[in-house]
Amino acid sequence: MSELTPAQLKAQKKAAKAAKRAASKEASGQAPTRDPREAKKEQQQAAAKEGGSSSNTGNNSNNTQGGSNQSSASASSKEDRTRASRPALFGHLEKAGKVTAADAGKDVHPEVITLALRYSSYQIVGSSDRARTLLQAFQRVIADYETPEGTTLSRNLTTHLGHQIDFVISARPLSVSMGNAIRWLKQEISVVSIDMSDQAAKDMLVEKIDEYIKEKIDVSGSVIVESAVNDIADGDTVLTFAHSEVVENTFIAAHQAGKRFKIIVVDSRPLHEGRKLARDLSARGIECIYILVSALAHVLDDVSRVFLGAHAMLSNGALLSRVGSALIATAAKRKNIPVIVLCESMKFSDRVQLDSVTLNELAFPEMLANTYISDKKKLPEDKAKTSLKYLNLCYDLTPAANLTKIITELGHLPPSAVPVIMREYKSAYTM
Amino acid sequence: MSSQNRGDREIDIFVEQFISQLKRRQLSGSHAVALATAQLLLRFVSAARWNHIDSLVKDIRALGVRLVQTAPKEIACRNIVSRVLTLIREEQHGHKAENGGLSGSMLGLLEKNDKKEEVLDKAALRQANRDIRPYIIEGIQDLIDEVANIEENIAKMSVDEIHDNQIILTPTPASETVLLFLLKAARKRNFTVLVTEGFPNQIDAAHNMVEKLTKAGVEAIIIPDAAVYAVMSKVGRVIMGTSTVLANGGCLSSAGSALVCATATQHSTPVVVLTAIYKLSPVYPFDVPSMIEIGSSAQVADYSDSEIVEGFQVFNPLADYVPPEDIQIYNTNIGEFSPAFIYRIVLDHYSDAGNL
Repeated sequence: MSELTPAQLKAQKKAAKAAKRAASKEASGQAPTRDPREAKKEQQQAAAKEGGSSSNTGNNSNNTQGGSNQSSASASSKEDRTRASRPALFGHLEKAGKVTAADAGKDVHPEVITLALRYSSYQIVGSSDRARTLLQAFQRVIADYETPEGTTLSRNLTTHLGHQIDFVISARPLSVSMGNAIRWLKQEISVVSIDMSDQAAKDMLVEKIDEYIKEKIDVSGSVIVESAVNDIADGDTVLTFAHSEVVENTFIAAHQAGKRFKIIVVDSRPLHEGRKLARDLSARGIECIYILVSALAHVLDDVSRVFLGAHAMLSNGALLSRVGSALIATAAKRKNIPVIVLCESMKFSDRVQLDSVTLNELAFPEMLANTYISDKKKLPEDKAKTSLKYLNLCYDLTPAANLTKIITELGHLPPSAVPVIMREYKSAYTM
Repeated sequence: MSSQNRGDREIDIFVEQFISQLKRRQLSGSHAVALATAQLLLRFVSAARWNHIDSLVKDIRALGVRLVQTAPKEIACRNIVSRVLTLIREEQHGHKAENGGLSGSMLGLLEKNDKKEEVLDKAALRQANRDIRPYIIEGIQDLIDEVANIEENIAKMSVDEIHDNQIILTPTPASETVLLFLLKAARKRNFTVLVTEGFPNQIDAAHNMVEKLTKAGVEAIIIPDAAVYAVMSKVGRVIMGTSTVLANGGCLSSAGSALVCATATQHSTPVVVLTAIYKLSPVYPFDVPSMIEIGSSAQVADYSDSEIVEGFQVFNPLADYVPPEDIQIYNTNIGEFSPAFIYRIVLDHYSDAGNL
């Protein structure tokens, strides 16, 4: 990720768009040698820059020149291939798009473009982190916003934010936490008084976002950590999967409280999020064992507790989390090991889901074609079997029956309490 | 054994070579090991010299103990030696029964065994021993044929197991038996196969299997090991291979398969294990960790990263023990059996004589 100033980004974006416009003009005008289908596609791209189905060769922000003639022509054929290699059974799932800055509309703030690209390349993962960074970007958007003539802030700002959100979605589908934060922010904007000056309203909103981040993410997180520490006893072997911010903080807090325990970090392809956790914890002197999910059966006998992070808790008490969590919970349940979920109430959703296939997110299949264990090395193009079909799901669903309890900032609760909390605190979400 | 005979020395060289191959894992995988062990024993019996059948049994047992110590986790090797020992005893008893009329039936157990005391004429015994060699060699030859052609026999049943548009999941991409089974079924059925990666030890095998299935026109999809639970609700059958079937009806299979079978059981998805009879073992899983081979941890964590090497422990098992309650059925070359019935099949093929 290159560190670009907003001004630089704007300039780059402008250049890329100009190139693209020229390309589409040429395509619609006289380009007899080219496939008309491709030309049409590019035209569509230029016209509606929603980017949901847009394509490009680069998968990170460095490739801002992506709008040029040649590369987008080859990109569209590449995309056809990846779509063809998508398993039919999972054809309905939302997937992360490969966007570049060039796909953003003129209203999209540079801060949001940078952020969206980092979501898309999985540089920012984790539901709390994604919600936090999104809100912080929106603070910049709001600060830089100017109400056009003939309308009011409370009406127009929501539309303006809508453009930003659309671009973010085109990079990667929203997490539940982001959805909740957006819903709350839109509500806040809609109740801004018409009599308030724009500057005052903007200041107020920025401040409210600060409060939201502090209350819903930071303080909630530390309250959870504080109470979850009590669930770790001396001599325990605690197992966790992938990486969760609250879970990591809980381990650190327990270690600082002088508890002696062992951690087993279970990790999986393709993201290998657990590596960072194992590295951070062992650097602090906590005893760590690192295994991959296929070795799980061999370590379970020693485990006294399982801690899982959450992407979302659904209204039927099911946990939606990084793919593999359900596997861990099932295996632990069979051995009567308590499974504890740490989840801020910000991640509660009123949705109900029964399996992991109906609603999920697909990540890029190419991530699975790389068979090296190291992130730094990439399999050479000719060796990676990209023609094979890969299924790269992001999440899976753990039924409530396999969870022992959830720890939220509102206390320790059974999974069935999710709809109760949502109902009781409804005012807190919409206020 | 230590005779100066040239034939003896030749077989010694052969045995040493076999053992060093086992040690270096140049010879691995239950099928290859079983076949090679049977061929070794065939040569051993052909070259051996004995006065009494007991001395042959003693020699083979000593060889078996050496092999097992060399590769304690290649249970197929132990199985084949046990099968051969059982076979020799059967031939011997069969011969005695013909000559001396000793009854082989269960009733014999209740009879007062006066006849056993009866000492056979030494010359007649030597005669009998000499006669027995061709039968033993023939028996081992049959065993080799059984091992070599087994996959065909198992694959025959594939059509009965798979229906059209079924989704099948296999956690053992390295299993030739599973691949053959699926390819055979693909001629008559239209289905989808999900293959787990088995990262890190089997990922290349997984890619190869998917490639071969795709070539044969089967829709084959690679899924990460972690995604098993997510897709299980759509899976109609879990079909897997095994390296060893244990006497209690459980089995040893590649790492990750225990988790797959546990998930399948929770979803009431049937688990079908494809196995050849030579993989059946008279061993009970009293000490599971001792049966599991551990692989290189450099495959789990990047050892060029010094923080990892110093920071935390890494663990890379190559196999999993799958308990019998997670297995629906064993599909073997002699028929289909429930795990609870496996001990009977084991008894059919091994006797106490086969104990090492």
